[in-house]
Amino acid sequence: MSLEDLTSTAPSWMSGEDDADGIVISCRARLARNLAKHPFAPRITESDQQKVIAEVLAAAKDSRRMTTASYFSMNALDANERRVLVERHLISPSLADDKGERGILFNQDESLSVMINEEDHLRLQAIYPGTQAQQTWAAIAALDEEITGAIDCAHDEDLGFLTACPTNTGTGLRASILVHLPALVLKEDMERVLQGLNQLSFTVRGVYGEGSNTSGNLFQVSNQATLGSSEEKIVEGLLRITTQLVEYEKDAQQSLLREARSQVEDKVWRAYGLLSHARVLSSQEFMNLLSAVRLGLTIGLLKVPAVFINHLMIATQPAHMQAEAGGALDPDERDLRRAQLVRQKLTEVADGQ
Amino acid sequence: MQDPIFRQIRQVDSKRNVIMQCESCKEREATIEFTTVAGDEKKTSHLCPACAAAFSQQQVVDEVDMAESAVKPTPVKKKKANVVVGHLSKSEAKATACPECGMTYDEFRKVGRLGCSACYKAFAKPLKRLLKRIHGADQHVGRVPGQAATATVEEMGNTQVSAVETLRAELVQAVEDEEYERAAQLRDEIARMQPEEVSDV
Repeated sequence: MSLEDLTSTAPSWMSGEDDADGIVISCRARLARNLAKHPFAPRITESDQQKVIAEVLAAAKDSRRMTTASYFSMNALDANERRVLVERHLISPSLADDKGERGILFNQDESLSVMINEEDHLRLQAIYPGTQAQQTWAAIAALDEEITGAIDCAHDEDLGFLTACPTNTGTGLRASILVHLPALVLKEDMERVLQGLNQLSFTVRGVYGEGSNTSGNLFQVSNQATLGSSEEKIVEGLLRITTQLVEYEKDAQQSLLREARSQVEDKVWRAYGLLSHARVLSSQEFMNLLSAVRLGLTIGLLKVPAVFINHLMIATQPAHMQAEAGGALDPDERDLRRAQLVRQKLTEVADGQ
Repeated sequence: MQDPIFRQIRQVDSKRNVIMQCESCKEREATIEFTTVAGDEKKTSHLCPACAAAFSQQQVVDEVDMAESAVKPTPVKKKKANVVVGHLSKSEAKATACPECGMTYDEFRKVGRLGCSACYKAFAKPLKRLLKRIHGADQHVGRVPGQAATATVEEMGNTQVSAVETLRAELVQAVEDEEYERAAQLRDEIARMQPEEVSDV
């Protein structure tokens, strides 16, 4: 598989399946693992990194879950190709930007992946559409069984899996959901919700993980602690939180509709109108309008498929547009091109109905 | 307690054999080591949780954030008061180096990442305290390498953590969160359970 094939499709986790309420976009689980015999990131040399890659790829070769997987070395990709992988949530920004020998292995539908030589030697990831937290966990556990069964894994009886950063020690599990909470934001209830989540030891980040800004009313909620609770307990906790968040958001939507139905409908249709006709769209404006359209889908006003909205969100990212254009685009060119792409796609969807 | 620029509280090792009396109330057992640094002066006192709680009303440096993000410590910047638990004194930090990769605890505190798996052994004591601060626990429960994905792992490992340990962890958390009422309740609960624990030491 080449990276060019990648940009024209949506990853499987964006299919919009299992998202009856249009609120939970995806579920993700990642496991941090290290090889016992090699130094961690702050002390690792390039020759160690090469050995780590060789050992991990050898282990993955026998994995039944990775039979369709492709491996890409970061050093063999140009900057835009690396950004494409970041935009698809396959790699972290730091794997894209760091120095040294590092790479990414992922299966064809992009549901399972292994980052090699990020902060930890291995970062296994499973990502599924909708509220499938348990399926996500089952998939990552199965991959973990195959991979850690075949390598000499850094592990301690008392402390569990040993990671470069003590914030990941133990299970090494970060389980997260990507949720769309426009009504809670509109009603200015988000601050309260965030505080509540914090008290329950859950953390909220932007779409692209640590340090990224929230945009388009999308939030990534994940567990804070990795030590002391079993993986199942962590996933159960996340599921409980998810159910609650969905309930809060639905309540907020209902109360918005009760109090100001015409304003809400107007907001949705205006957003749809702007997206259908705008000639220049900045990424921030686009994300906000898309959020309103997504809300329209959730409250049954619009009949745009979720997968379409999700794909549009990826396809309009800078690196994806540059890959499509076959060269660098400056921000103004990107805004023009984004508007054009959105118009074209919306027409396709409208015609298909 | 004039303008302490740096304060540190850590839980005294519960496995020690000597029972220490609280230096403040001289009644309850001292389970917390409370360190204040103001200028060049460093003062360490041993306090019971209730007295420690009373002493820690002001905002302090959040040490975990430092270790986590490896940013420079900025005192009094967090919205809620946090209490520093579990790091070494200067001389201790310099003396401890990992035999495998040579990383010192000081260096770990600067970069926020460990050098190799052996660092966990080399810095076992302070790391245990740090882990407890970050996760509220210092005992892994869950998967081991190569474990079948279908295996039930929930009951594993939990047996070592006694009820008193759990309460102590909650107490430390309550003190950190400045929930003094809750801290007092927990303190009394621990006191009630204490005879039981002494007998199994």
